[in-house]
Amino acid sequence: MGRIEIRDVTRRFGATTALDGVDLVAEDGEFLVLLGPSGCGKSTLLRMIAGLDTPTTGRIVVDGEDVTDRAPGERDLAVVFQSYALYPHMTVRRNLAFPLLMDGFRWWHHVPFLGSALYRRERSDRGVAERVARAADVLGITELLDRHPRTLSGGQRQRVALGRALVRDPVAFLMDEPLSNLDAKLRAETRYEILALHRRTGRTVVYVTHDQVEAMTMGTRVVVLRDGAVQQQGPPAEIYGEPASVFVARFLGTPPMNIGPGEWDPAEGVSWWGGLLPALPEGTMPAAGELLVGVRAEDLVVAVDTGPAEEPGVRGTVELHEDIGHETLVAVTPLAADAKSGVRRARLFVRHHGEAPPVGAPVRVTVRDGGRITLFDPATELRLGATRGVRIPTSLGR
Amino acid sequence: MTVAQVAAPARRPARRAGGFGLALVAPTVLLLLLVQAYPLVEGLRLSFTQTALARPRAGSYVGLDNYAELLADPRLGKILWVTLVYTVASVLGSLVLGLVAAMVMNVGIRGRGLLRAILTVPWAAPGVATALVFIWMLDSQYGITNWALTRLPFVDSYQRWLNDPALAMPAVVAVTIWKVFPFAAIALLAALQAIPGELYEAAKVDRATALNRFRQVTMPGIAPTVLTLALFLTIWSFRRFELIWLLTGGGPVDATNTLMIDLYRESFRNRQLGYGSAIGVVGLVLSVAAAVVYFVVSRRLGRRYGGAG
Repeated sequence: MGRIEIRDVTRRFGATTALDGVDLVAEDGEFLVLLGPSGCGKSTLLRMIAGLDTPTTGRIVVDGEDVTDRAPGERDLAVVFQSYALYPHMTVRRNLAFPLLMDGFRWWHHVPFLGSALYRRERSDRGVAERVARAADVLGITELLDRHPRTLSGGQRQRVALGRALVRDPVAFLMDEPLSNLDAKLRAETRYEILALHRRTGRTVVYVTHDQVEAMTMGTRVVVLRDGAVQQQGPPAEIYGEPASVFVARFLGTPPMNIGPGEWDPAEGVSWWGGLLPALPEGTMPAAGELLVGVRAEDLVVAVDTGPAEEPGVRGTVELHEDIGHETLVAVTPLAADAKSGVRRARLFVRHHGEAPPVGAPVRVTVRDGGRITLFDPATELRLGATRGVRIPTSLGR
Repeated sequence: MTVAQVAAPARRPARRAGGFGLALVAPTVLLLLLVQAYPLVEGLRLSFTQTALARPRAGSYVGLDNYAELLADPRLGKILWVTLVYTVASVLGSLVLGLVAAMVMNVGIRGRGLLRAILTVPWAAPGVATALVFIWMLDSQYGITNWALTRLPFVDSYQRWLNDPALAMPAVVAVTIWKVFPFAAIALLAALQAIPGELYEAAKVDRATALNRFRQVTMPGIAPTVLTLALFLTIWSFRRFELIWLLTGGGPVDATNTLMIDLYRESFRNRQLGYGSAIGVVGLVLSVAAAVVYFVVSRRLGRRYGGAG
């Protein structure tokens, strides 16, 4: 239980297309992260799974049952909203109990006196109280039960919202940027809480975020969306290491992947920003010609340029340091960038440990042994098939 | 403790500038004394006198005689009853109709802006003009109301809307609601729009039916506005004069003779300024009572919302 299928879903709002033929499966028990910049359709997708929005075409299937035309309440899914959406006039206890009470609500409970008396009896029901207490215990909000949402901090509200999702024991949790209203420290803590919740319940989680750190640390699988279409999906490490397109490569990772213009000449090798890169293994290269070369900051090494100009590596000047404690991020402007003006992001970021070359120093940047190079087609910006994150063989070295 | 320490230095210079400060607030205070306090005190004083309208300065002190006479007046019960019926009916009617109109506009139908503009017309229209138009519309022989109603099946007789003791009150209440409900609608629309949409979505996911969403999300969300509206509408209803006076003059057979109408009749028709003032004081007491109920309820509401009130 908890397998969610999205079959060829398209959603249009007037002339704009928010989602364009998305096919996706969240396997039972999976922590699926929908990642993308704002406006990519990830929230729309989540809302359609929840039933708060209806696809223009396509179906939503939960555990083999087509739920596309079912009301949100009939899907047995719980939603955690970005704003938490706690009922302001209810105590935490009643907020948590609300889904349970609504489960047992019958229309005659609206009848004055008799109906409301029956409803009150249900409210004091043991089973409800027990389930609320258990959920509160799991999330450590037992001492908040009698307070109103307005008197709680952001983190506490967040936990109450999780609790309200948890009490009903749904087949899946849908979370729409649940951490975006928290400060950085609390966000990191709550991340682990949500992960613990996922482990404890074993339920499917579909989690929407624009924060690539959340996607990397939380998801068992990440789906990168752009302009209403799936760009790439896979485990976080795969998305990070083998991005399918320039967009994905730049969207994940801080700093983003270094991508610059290059050329492949079978006689000489791959050049990047006018400097030669280490030779790649046989059979991994496409046809000769221009391409885009991408290398992660941690796969680059930077050293003060002493050798002759023909030596491999990109020559450039250190522009600035970003010291983040255990390492230094060195930004290098390639010399070739001046010639090729108009090229975006004419700057290479290198993760460096130890003493970094001083700002202004002439340096040479190369790919480290075992580092990964990704090649993209300059026209389509898609990864060139054979170069799924090709590693530089250690033996070849610099 | 901290607050006091922080506040203390700020307060001292203000006290030193006392004379100047007083001079600054004096015009406002004087104006309020003139237009609020003086009439109030004068009304109270008059209610303890026997004063003829023609010679307001020549009243004689009669103690509680006016009140004794008023309480002994067999008409008082009916006047209060009429006032109560008029107030409750017009307030409830305006709130319910206003809420319905606000909810329709909140759904986001096409032409909402136009609808809102049209809706403000009754509220903005002058009371006298409203009354005159409705007198014609409700006219027993030439009114459009009777004409339209007799087009319906099962209605074949003309009604004397403003002259039938059984129909005058419903007619006056209906005109009042027509005039007042737009105000309620606009205030309630603002309150409805302040309720976050995610609350409704959360309630949907939590399997709340439409009626439960109304009770659990909408009602708590608009409760403070409803309460404030109810207070204003109640006090306005207590005091409403021109509409009733022009439509029925308090008749027929005192069927629409509210406290305010009776006050006017006693003071300016029967020329008993002192007696009229006593009626006015009763009206004041009722208004204050309504305000007290409002504050008690809003305090309780505030507590339910988590100590915000």
